[in-house]
Amino acid sequence: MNFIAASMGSYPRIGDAPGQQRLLEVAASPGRLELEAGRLDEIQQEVIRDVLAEQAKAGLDALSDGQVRWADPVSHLMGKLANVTPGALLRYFDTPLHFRRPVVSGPIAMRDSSLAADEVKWTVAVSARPVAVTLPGPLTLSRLAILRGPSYASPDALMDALVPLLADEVARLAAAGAWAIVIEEPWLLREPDAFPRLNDALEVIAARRGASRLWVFPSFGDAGALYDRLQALPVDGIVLDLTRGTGAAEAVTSAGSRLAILLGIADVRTTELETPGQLAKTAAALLRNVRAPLAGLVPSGGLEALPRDRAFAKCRVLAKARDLLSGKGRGRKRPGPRGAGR
Amino acid sequence: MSRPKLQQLGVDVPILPATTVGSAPETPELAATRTAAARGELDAGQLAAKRQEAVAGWIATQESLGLDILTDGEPGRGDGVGWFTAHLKGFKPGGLVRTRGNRFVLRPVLAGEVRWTAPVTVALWSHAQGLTQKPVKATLPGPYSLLAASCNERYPTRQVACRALAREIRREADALVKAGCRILQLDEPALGSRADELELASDAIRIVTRDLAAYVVVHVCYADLGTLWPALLDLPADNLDLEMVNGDFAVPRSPAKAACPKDVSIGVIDVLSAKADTPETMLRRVKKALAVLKPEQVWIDPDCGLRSRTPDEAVTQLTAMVAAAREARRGRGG
Repeated sequence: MNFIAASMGSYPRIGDAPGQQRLLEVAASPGRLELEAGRLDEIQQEVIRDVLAEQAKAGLDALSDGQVRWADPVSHLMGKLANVTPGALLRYFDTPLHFRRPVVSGPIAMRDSSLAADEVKWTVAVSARPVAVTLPGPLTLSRLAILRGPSYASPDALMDALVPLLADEVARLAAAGAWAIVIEEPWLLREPDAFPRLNDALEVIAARRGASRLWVFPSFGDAGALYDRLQALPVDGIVLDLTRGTGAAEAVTSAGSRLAILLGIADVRTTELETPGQLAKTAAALLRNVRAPLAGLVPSGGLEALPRDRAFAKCRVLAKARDLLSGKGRGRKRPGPRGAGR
Repeated sequence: MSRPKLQQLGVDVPILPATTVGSAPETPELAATRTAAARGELDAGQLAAKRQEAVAGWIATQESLGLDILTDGEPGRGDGVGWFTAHLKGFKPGGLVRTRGNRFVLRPVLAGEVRWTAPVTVALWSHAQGLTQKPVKATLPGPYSLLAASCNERYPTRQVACRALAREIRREADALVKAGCRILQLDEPALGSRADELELASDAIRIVTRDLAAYVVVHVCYADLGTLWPALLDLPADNLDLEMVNGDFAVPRSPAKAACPKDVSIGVIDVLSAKADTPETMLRRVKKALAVLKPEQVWIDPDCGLRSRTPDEAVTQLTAMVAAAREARRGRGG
């Protein structure tokens, strides 16, 4: 089994250290409204380079662009669709971050060449290590949207319309070189009855994943009760938040996994640091019956809920725990994720 | 319905009272004071004097607008909860965390046993109440949202941490009541971020409010109220203060008039927008609430605090809100 440590989704774009507040300075500058789009893009690229370098320095194998360009986990994608406008402000699940609920007032369609793939292509080009991309899934997006007008009679109808668009985007992400694509579905834990519909959606999406690995992440809760069904999904791997209960951990321990499994064991809700030894021991116990070719250690969610220095520290702990888990000492060459099984 | 409780407490408010959620708009003077304080350019006495000036100005504004229940305007409170945790033992300052767009707050760290040592809000509340005959509502962070806004490194579980926070907030609440406060609001914007923890939140709020000689408001905003209703009705509060315009009146659509046992403060101003709605628009929002709630149950206020609005925007919006409240009272003995 190949062990990796990776980052999932967001990463703090602002830090307390000098030079880590460029985006904040731009936002506060008197000329911000006149700032050329190109200049903002340059600053975002600088920040993304820093974020990638920081994760690489921490020792992660698969990196994230930190979603530095994203206003929030929902609007960045939905805002690029026709007939979607920003609506009510809502807290994003169990995070300090708020997002605008997308108001869908007509048939959705692409307005740009991609939802995220153009950005990811640039990120892949500048990243020293493989890039993992996290997208909100069609179930969650459809449930968080506000439906207006006759185009979609129900959230299910919107979900059906989102699936082909997201499948196209997954194909673009694969072409852009995304090493892994994570479909994050926090809503699944609120609405487990939607499982069959999600399964159907993932079949369509997975068919377009090319050489990328497709993982699903039922985040913001304990997915233990759904574990058997998660194993049957048409994906390459599952990501589990193991900080919010014992159900998922017990399920992995007893049932193992046929799919690649990413263990969310660094808690993004607290600045308290886990120790590498503690995480490695926990992971070893969890993975006892796992026969998948790939297992990973990841944060329990997006790292943006933490201050920047703590996000970095959590990444370092994950990387050190991976080394302990894989029996690789400091300085010894590791195989890395490239070429690892799905 | 808690109007008899208000009467028992000696608080006289008209039917369909108009109020605000808590914070006043940020004036240039307050912003300058905040900057100067952060740079250490003001000593404690100077800072207190500046804040008292701000309170006096806001009380005068609210009285001139005709609001019925006032607040001290919360000068000195930035975004987040750091203004409160800075006064509690056990907390240490944390790093910057994004809350939306380009807004960041310092997320405090609960690193040791939390301990209230002295009143935090009483002086300004007392100053405010001393300037008016109208009741002044005090506002405090709710225990659940204080937990959500912090990083817990000290307590073994969220439940234990939340209860510990609640016990210390209770001490601040007791100090406010001792000073004469009769309307206390707990701000719980994180309520609903985890539906499975509503009971935990409710238990913690109960620790703060049990047998407290005050009318208790719980303010909830930017939460999916539709999924929280009707469970919210079990919260140990007299009044649920709900953001309504932003949430498109997700509640109370369903409860029958007899089914809602609590008073409800209805947000009729979208504080995220600089646009001023007309009194007629706001009256329509009040009438929506009155379709499912009795007039004796309804308070009228903005969706949330006014800190992100300019003074001019806030005055324009509140003027329209008070006009709507007066129109709604017409013929109802108000």
